[in-house]
Amino acid sequence: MDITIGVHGVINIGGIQILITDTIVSTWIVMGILITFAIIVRIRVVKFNDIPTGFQNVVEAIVEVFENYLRNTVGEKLMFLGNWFFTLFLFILVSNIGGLIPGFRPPTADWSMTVALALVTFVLIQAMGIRYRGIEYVISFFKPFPLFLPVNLIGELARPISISFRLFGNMLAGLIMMSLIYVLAPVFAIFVLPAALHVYFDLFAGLIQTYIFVTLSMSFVADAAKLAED
Amino acid sequence: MNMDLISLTTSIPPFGIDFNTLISAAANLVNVGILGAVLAFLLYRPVRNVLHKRTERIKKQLQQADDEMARAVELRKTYEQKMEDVEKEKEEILTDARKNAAEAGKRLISEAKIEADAARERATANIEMEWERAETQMRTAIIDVSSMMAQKFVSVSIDKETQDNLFDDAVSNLEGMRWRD
Repeated sequence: MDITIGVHGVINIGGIQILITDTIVSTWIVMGILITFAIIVRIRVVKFNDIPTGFQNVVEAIVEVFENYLRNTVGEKLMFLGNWFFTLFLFILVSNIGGLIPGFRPPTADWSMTVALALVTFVLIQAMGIRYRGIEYVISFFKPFPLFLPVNLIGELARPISISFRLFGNMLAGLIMMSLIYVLAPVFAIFVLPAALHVYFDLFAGLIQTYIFVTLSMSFVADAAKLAED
Repeated sequence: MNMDLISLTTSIPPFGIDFNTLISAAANLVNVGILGAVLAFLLYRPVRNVLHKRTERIKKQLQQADDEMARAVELRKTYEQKMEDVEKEKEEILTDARKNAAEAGKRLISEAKIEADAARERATANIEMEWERAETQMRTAIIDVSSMMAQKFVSVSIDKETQDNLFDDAVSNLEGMRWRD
């Protein structure tokens, strides 16, 4: 397994060349899986009963557990951000778990993906800070005194960047480890050892990193929107 | 990074801070944004709406149950209050009835006594009246007998012996009348 990102083609839009990398392809695959799932849910949601069973139970549990998790983390006033965080959660989760499929490169093992997700968090932090705290939020960058503005700005940028590196580093590390295992493991062990390590690096670490990324994103946004009297 | 060089290569490193990374990040952002919109429209909102509607319906049903329970408790309280009032009213009616019955009994006894006294008085008066009438009749009878004696004494030639006999007859008649009264 190669840890470099494969390039399958180039799309030229307005003079800007966009590389069709493994990450883009993997992202489309994850999108395809999630959109297919969403279409199935949309078709069946009209037939949902008051007493859920089977598929309905799973779907309701996912949404309900996520809503409670979101409510506990960001509070009632930021519940309208549920759409984004739900997408973030499912996308990172499926991407990370996708590492279990041979030949699939998790999109989260590419920094361009994790930084894109973290930039959304950054924008949300600023937007919610200004929306709920207004001028007080802007003034907070000049505290304790105006000379600290650059330091505060770097600190503000560092938070989303750090979570993007955390997710990217963990997933890439898992990818590298698995690549090494596949190369170095003896032939007789290649069907047993990698399976156990896949469970750890892709499933366990994947779940944990998803939880950490989403929870930290939620906490940063909720913290920015938090008023002094809250 | 040189674009011409990129178009020739088949792979890039997993980490790099350059223009190409920014373009990839933007492309990823667009992809995830589209995914977010689709998931919101097809998955998150519909399921959340179903859950919220159900929760609201259950809350409403619970509220209705609570309201009905409160109404039932209120109704029960009213019913018990009415029952207490009825019981109280019953006791009052019974007490009044007993009192009235006692009074009526006393009144009846008193009236009966009065009537009995009056009857006795009437009887006494009748007796006295009868007595007087008897006396009157006796006197009349004495006068009649006396008259008859006088008549016989006058009409018959009376000798001594006859006169004594007449006198004895009159006396025996008088004694017989008194005995009868």
